[in-house]
Amino acid sequence: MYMQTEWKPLEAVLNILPQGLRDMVTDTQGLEEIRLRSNMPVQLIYAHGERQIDYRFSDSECESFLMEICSYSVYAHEEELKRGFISHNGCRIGLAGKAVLKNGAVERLLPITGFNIRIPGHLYGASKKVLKHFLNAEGNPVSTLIVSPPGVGKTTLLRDLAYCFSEGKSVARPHKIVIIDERNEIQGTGEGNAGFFVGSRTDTISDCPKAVGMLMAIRSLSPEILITDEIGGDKDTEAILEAANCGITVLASVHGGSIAQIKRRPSIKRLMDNAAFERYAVIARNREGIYIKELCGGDLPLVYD
Amino acid sequence: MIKYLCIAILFFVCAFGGIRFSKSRLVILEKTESLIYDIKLMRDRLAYSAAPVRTLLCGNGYKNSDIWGLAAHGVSGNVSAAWKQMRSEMCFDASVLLILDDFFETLGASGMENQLKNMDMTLKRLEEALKLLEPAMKQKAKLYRSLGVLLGFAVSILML
Repeated sequence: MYMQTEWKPLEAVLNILPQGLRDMVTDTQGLEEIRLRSNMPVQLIYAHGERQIDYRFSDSECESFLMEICSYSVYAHEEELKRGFISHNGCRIGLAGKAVLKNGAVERLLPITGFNIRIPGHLYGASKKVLKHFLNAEGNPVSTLIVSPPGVGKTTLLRDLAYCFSEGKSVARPHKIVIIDERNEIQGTGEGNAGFFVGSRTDTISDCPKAVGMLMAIRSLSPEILITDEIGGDKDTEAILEAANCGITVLASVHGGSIAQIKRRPSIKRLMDNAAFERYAVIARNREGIYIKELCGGDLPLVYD
Repeated sequence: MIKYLCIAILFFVCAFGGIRFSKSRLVILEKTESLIYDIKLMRDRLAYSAAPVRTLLCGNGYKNSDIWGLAAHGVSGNVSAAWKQMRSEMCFDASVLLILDDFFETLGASGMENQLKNMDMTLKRLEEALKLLEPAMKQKAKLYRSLGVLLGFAVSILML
């Protein structure tokens, strides 16, 4: 039996919208994203379609909304603002606007002209159909890199895998999990809420760069499984190799359309060459849920579900 | 007999009133000093933890926790709006109120570097305001005390 959480991210998101807009968002079934753009209609993106609402955010409303999602504490979100997003109560809100540069790096986006509010889905059981592909013959998880384009459900899958492995659901035994939740999306903790339940044997390091977090976890939290989302750079690669060489199982995700495509990225190719992951799983989603489109690794043949 | 009793009561009422007014001046001084203490503590906490405004204002150890708490639980976390609502009930000198207006206006509205600079500026302004207020308030306190006692005497003599 999967445990439920009382946290409702959709409600948390709707509560931060202006009252007029909130009243116009009537259909919330399957709502995945809300896109707000300065002086443009609001766009609602659902699992299988989109809708526009004739509510236009003025420039001053954009400014007020930014203060609202920062909890009126811009300094507390300074690093996130530099990277172009804010985590608000577990929801990642991407920002668009004019970049202000300092020494060649983005100092901030000012003014902010667009917000992309991603609503995390708490699909407990999201990994039910595909869990077996993450296990070895003994029923223990193996290091796997999950690949898919944005919006398919990598984070949702990782969240559910964390829960399953932590609680010992459909696996040989429960495991000690550490989640490196850089954007605070996997567990989704925020002010006043504990986020999703990701297992009673799970520790989370949130709002921390993945590479730094992974090394901290390896040194001090003795994880059996490390879970992290959207790896990319050389530092992430180094940290994953360190974890792999310590015998820690790593479950990670990366943006990409296919295994052949991600191979072209130098950091991922280095991971493949060093056998950091035992399996590579390309996932997709249909009405029935997440499924594995392509799977390979080690001596496994390619598998198409 | 009753007349002398009334005279005594009037004397004490006037003297007591004078002493109360005198103490209120000293309370304003004390509160301003405690404000400086609180903002110093807040600044240190901010530099150490970068906690959001609400968490920062609700921390332990503040001498004016009632003020910070009210501001923190204000309009959706907008401390500036909350301060505007509660400003009229605050017993600070007008110069200190102006400093607090600016403080709440800038609290949370900028990055860490500017936030700390704003707090340092607020502390400096409060210390300067306190330097000017201290002699003035102490003098006023003395004056109200003396006036209260003198008024008491005057009323007593008139009644006699």
